[in-house]
Amino acid sequence: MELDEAVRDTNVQMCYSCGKCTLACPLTHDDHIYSPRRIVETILAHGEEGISPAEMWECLTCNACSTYCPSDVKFPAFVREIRGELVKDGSYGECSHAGILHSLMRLMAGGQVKQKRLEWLDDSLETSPRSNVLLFVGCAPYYDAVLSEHGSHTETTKSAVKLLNSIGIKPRLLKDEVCCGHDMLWTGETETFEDLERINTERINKSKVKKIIFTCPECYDTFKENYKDLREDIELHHLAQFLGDRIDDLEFKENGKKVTFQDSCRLGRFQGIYEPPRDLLLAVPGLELVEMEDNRKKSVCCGTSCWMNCDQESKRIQVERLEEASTIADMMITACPKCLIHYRCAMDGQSKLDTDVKDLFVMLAESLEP
Amino acid sequence: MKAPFEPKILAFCCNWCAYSGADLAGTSRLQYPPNVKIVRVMCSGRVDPGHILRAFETGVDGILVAGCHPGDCHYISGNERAEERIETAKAVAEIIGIGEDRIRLEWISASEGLRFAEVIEDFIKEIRVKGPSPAGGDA
Ligand code: SF4
Ligand code: SF4
Ligand code: SF4
Repeated sequence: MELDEAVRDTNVQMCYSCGKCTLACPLTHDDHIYSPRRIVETILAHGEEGISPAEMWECLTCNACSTYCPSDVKFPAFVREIRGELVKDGSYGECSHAGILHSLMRLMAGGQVKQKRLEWLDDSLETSPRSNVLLFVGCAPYYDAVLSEHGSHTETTKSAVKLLNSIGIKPRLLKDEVCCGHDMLWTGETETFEDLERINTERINKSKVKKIIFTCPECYDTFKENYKDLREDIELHHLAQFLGDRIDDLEFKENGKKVTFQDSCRLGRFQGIYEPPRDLLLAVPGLELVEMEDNRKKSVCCGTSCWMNCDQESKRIQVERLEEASTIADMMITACPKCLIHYRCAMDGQSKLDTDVKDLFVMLAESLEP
Repeated sequence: MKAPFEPKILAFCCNWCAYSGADLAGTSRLQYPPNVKIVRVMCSGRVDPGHILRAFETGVDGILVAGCHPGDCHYISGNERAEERIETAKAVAEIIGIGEDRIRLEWISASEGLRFAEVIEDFIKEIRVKGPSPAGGDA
């Protein structure tokens, strides 16, 4: 195993055991201790023998630990590297939903299937095959099919097109786009990730696209940090940031709701985009924005990542967060499809949670002046 | 010369009805093509869309899920659950480009050995016309 390399690349050897990471970790609470500090120490002391695969799969890769680390230990990246080695040895995490989403990602990586991923488009949405602004759709069409009980996820994509149309942009959509590969990368299926990266890169590079806009923070982060061969003149934007820069061109109607914003880990701690979604919400007349105690870089993860290891800890994290949101606001807004799905899932059967979870772009599109 | 296409079919059969039906087909010495591999599950409702997609991933060309007739489910409503789950699997198979008609749900009782053989034969015929699954794989 390339342990030494992973240790070096991610600064793990710089750990001085302060324990700030463990305090920040959402998996740690009264009766459950998940300790990145101990994990790091054990591996430094015992090498490969010190690796516990179960612990490696349990991490949410939410980056709360690294945000507080005074020594710049990149724990999530370390976990990702080790997972890559574990997968080679045949160890894998527990997949949620019988692994259907992982299967879909591998099928797209095979490059042979002809997807029907744009069936949700309707006549009210203006797109253009010649536009140099690409809207990257991501896995929303699949979420609609697999997770229909947690709402419509192409609703977000539709809203994104509507919002772009309202500022005069008719985006282009790719009918043969494949999954960005985020989950394959973070579950250690490096080869599958590289196949997906290659397919998307080839298809986008040969088009005349100049800008790519993402609604999903994971796609955005993956393109930005992990796609190596994308044409250099292509700009990447998350839609919240893109619209945040064009706020004066957007006209919203009155909305008297009281909302709170859930920062997702990829958009927030990974990419540092905290203010644009809030600026957009505040641009809606009458809308009141209140903050949960842990907001911005202190935000709490949605409890499960990469469709794996969803367990009672996930549910505890989700329910605690929703309880907090419901005591201060009518609605929790998020700009990440995964936060939306996992929180909605946790709401099922929790009648005491008197709140709603909504996507930022759906909320904004509904508030557009007709 | 390339060998002619022989569809690979995976059949999930519930323990109480369809699997017994398949058993009866066997004990009655009914003939059906050898292209099918049977996985016995306790209930058709146990078959998750994830299992179906995983099977396609490994190179299966068609999937049959077979359970008890409506009203006859050993677990009362497991087969109703199966219906919902197959609907999801079909919707996903459409988007990914495998096609919903490579997935079939059938009700086969323990006494319907003949029907089991006929369903298999018919499904294989249909998949033979459609050709190999676009998902590839080499199961
Ligand atoms: S990435 Fe998140 S879940 Fe993993 S150790 Fe760090 S804080 Fe804990
Ligand atoms: S916060 Fe950083 S230095 Fe402190 S124990 Fe955790 S990894 Fe080590
Ligand atoms: S929280 Fe998310 S991963 Fe867990 S069961 Fe619900 S939808 Fe699935």
